Amino acid sequence: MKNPYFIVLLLFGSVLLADEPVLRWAADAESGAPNVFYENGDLSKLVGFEKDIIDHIAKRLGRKAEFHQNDWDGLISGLQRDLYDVVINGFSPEEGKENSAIFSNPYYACGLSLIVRSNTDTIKSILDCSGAIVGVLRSSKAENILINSLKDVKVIGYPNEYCAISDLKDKRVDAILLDGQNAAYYTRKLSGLKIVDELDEIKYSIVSTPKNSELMAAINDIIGDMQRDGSLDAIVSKWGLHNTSYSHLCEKSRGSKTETTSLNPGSPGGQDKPTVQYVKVLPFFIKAAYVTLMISILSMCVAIVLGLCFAIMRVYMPKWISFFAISVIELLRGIPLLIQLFFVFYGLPCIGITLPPLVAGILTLGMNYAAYEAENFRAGMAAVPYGQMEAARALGMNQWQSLRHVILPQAFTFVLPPLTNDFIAILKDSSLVSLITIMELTKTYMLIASNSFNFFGMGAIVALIYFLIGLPFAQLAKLAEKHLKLEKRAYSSRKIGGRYNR
Amino acid sequence: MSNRPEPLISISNLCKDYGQDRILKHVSFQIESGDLVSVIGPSGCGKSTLLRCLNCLEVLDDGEITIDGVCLCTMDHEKNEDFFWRQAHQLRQNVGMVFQSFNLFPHKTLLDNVTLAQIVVKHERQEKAKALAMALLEKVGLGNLSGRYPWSLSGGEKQRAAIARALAMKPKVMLYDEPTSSLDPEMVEEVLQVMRDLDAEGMTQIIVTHEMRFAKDASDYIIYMENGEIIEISDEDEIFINPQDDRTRRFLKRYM
Repeated sequence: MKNPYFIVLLLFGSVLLADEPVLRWAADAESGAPNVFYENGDLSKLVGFEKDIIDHIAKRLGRKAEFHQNDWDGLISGLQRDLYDVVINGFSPEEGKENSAIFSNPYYACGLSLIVRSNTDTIKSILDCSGAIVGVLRSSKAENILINSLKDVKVIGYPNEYCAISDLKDKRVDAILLDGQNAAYYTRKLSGLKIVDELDEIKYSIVSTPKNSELMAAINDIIGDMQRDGSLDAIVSKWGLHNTSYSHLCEKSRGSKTETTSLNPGSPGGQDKPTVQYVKVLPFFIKAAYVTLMISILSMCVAIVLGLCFAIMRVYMPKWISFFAISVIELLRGIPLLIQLFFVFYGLPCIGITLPPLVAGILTLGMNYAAYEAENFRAGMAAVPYGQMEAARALGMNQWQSLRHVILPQAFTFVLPPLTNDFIAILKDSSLVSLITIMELTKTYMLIASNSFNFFGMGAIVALIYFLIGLPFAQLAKLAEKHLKLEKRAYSSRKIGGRYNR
Repeated sequence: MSNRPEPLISISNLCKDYGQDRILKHVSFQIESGDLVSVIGPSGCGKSTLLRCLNCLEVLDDGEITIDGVCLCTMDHEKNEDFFWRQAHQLRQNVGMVFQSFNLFPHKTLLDNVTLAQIVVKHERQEKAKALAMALLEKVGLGNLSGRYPWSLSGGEKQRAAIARALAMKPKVMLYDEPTSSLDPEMVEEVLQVMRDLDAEGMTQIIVTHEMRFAKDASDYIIYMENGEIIEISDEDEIFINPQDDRTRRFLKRYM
């Protein structure tokens, strides 16, 4: 029991351990360059210009900055869940979330850049995009602009920049419209792409909830100070992110003009050789594999216990309890796991039940699989001959005693193979909990792969790890099956007909 | 038999329906302590159902069963189900049952088969339960097989183990539902011998059987059933030598 708690503490509870007050901030580091990202997929090296800014702000607040990874789509929900204090991840105040979130004064501004493949001649400006397929970030300002200003353009929303970029390279889209500094970073980093048009101005703000308005006021002051004393400029210069929009922003706040166009090559530090990369990422994968394994095992325990209860309720209890069990089973089976997960994690807090991510994940997975296990157990109990129950009852055992000592031990031997099956399934389904901020194997893979631009090699590693985790359980189940077998048939492996079968 | 005062088992007006069909029609009889009674009759005549009713494996639809002072009647089942099942539990304490298909617990050794109910139901201590189980297994001739699992035994051995398992609860009545019907002919005798031994010790036994010779030799008296009714109850000699009813005569002719 110590280890799960350890993880919880590690991920979310370090608040309790630190002496210094912390500033909990969140972003999606999955291909978030140059905003917030892991350098070359090294999960111990979180970098980015927004990280520099928030570190700076935290220092001036006298707090310790503490990073929380969350999916882009869940960043604002996480704020309301009070998983962290602020979000800094290229959010613009215009994106229409004013009622649930408050936005700081802008710390950066940029234009939108239209990127195409180097050999594309047909698209020279945003107006040429009519009839083309254009990729954007999901629910970004670029998406709004495209849909509202251009007719018959097909817009595809991506969860992160890297997906959009790779689809452009793979010719799935004709062009992509990204925030200026992202476009600059990726066109520099990857060959075969070019920026053909720049338009509009977007401002970046730190996001928080209304109840943190005092903190936000302090942050606004600090942003103002940073703009005046040049420390913000220093960060922007370091990352090579100067542009006209940003200069306009500075002008407004400072009243002086600094028109500098930087040619800084961007992210400091080059890329490692692939082999070195693999060795470096291995510890992160192993840690993540441990999280995945732990979530799967605990979820399976929940599933087995609950499933057994449901099965017994369904088969042996009075009608109304049995009806209740059937309803729950059908409900849990019939609703997608992902929806259950979001409901438990983001929905239940609305009625006052706030669960830590790990607990929510394990509970949801466990409940969902409990429905399947219940049916497995029901089948197992049905496979025990009825005479067994009669014999037990005739000996004077009551129903529960008969179940406990006679029916269930036998049913378990029938249930073991499908149970193993479901454990391997739960191992794979556990990847869904990455969507509620848990850093398990799949999430780690996505982060490392997208930050190191190596989906193939990292994918092979993560696939191998999943396979290796599942393997011993399949073997274990085989052993247990052999041990528990009710009837030992000496020739069970032979085909019926034996040697005359040829 | 009627001159003795308190019958151990008394059944009056017992009826059992399966849906529309009435399987048992107003069955009444009494059995004294220490009697060995054989129930015979053609297939589907309701003799197995009668036995299962005596042990509450089937709930009776009408009538009354009294075994050793514990009374079950349909009125109770309709009015107060809880009370009915408490009575049924009480009644089962005095009744042991042996099935045609043995129904030994396949996940337990013979010894554990015999100790399980003692420990679970009577909360007997492990050593005490084991001692009794060993004694009973010795008695049915399986003392050396106590560590074996049911799958490794012959049919006759399984049925003797099942008898030992039922005896472990110290019942006053033993019910046998066609105990030898699924056995090879050479194993039938070893099972019947156990029943003869028990009879000699004064155990009350009711046996549903197709073993006419055993019924004739060992029974104190015989119940002949057909179509859910008791046609004839009589001493074993009488029913075989001089059946009173035509239907009994026809049935015995086919068997003897």
